[in-house]
Amino acid sequence: MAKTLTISIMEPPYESANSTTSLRIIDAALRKGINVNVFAYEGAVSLTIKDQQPHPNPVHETSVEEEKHPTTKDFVAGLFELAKENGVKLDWLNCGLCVDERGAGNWIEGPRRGGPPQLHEWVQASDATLVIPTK
Amino acid sequence: MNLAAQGDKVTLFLVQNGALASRKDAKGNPLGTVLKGKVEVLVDSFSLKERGIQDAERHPSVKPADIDALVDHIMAKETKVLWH
Repeated sequence: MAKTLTISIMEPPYESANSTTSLRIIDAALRKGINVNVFAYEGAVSLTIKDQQPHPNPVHETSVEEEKHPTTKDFVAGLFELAKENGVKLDWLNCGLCVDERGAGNWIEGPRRGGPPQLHEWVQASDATLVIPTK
Repeated sequence: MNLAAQGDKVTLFLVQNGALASRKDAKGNPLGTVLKGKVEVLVDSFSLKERGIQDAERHPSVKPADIDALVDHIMAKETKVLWH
């Protein structure tokens, strides 16, 4: 039976290395055949906003295509694809209150709305829980 | 260190700017004390590369590791994981 990791994140996109590290941990766990639950709260609910757009870089004088600026919504979409390919489950909850506060409800396919009660259930049922807070 | 002193197995995984502490010549670095306390110290290879920290700069007792190793530690039985 596959193990399950619950990870709780709160860092908004493009602010700190915590987001990158969180996504790397989720990626590694999925590749190892581990089911992953993600509870995104506070600024982390914006990681999956569908309206994110890559941009050119005026400093480098590069176009959107040349810059290939990665967006967190694309990274997360890739994680859902990876889970499907590896036959494991990625369950991603965006904290509903945090979403409403930010008007950040237009997501890519995959995440769903939730709250602390679901997080509590996940923690009780998981093999391990990792909380990555902001400072 | 207190946990290690009482016989618990403790691993410190340095990631992001924490990788800077893996340098043997970093001033005021408590790493030597931690290593004497029988704490295993690993450092994220990706974070080392991002910061241009070379093998020769790293404390010899600090082992480079991939994020896979961190996941293995997190998922190990009877393990408590704390992000600091």
